[in-house]
Amino acid sequence: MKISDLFAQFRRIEPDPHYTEHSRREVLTSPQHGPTIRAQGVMVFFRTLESGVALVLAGFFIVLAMGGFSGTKLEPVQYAVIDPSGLQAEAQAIDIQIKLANLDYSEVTSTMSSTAARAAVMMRASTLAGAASSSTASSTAPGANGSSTASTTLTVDQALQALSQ
Amino acid sequence: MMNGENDNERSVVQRAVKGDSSAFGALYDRYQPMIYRFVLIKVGRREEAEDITHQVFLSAWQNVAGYRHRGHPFSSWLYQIARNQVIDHYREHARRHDVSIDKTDPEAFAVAGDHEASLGTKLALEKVRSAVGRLKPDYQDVIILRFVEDMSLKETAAALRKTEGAIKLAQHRAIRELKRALGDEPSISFDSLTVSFDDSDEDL
Repeated sequence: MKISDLFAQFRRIEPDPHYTEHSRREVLTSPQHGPTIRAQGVMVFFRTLESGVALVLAGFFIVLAMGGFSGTKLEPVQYAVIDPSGLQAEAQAIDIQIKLANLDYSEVTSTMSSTAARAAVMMRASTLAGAASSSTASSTAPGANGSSTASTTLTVDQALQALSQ
Repeated sequence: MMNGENDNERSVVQRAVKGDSSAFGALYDRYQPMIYRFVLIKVGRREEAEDITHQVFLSAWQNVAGYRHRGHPFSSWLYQIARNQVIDHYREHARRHDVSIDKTDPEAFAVAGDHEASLGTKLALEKVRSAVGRLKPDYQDVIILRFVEDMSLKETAAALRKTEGAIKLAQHRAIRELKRALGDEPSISFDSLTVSFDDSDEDL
């Protein structure tokens, strides 16, 4: 068998027709891609621009979040709620109110303490008086003089009444 | 290929470059059998040859917008894609450890309509295919284009983007290698294989 004849046999080989039909249809209906070098360059340019814009925006928002624009003419938005000078005045006003409240409280407490002190003295006195009268009564006969010792002990109700006056 | 044919093909290629699918379809119809045979002789198996051939034309269609005519025929671009696809195919199969150049499919070389091809012919075809498959890729390309596709030296040089001198040298070495591989086969004779180099004939 001559090798030239064998090569000629190879030349007669054809692909399967069904495969060819299917492959052709698949190829021609597939989307084309692979843009030209120029189009690729344009795409690269726009992607770079997109990244740059994203970085700038991110930086802007970071500065904004850190309050970087406050007090400058570059402040983009005036917040009506956030007013530093107003807040300071309000804080000072709060301080004054606190002082006055303290004063009132002190006056009340000083009044209350003096009243309580007087009541305590009176109770002590009455206690002592009571103790003295009981010892006297034990040494003398009752009715000899026809006089009875007057009790000076304050009850709790009387003490509270004295405090409220 | 005549100059008129070249001009006709160039206009078809230009339309395909602009996205004309019917123009690319015409190119597909013309070159698909050649690319299929080119790949089949290299890989030896019909299914693999079909897959690779499909990939070649799919890749060509998807990237035809970037094709620029640089003095070589459109087929040279297709052969270049086919060679790369075959290399990728072997690389992938080597990675999977299942590559074997001896795994051929004799029925892949059955000629359509020739059901009475003898077993001897089929075996001889398989042996030649196997011997060609063992050659260096450059030698394979020259053997296939020169002796299977029956291209002239000039056409082969244009298709492979080489000089005619390089093609001559590769062909000479390829045939020497083939003789060495098939020399012990009594059923295969290298006589009367005539090769044209310019105006002189050289018998192998």
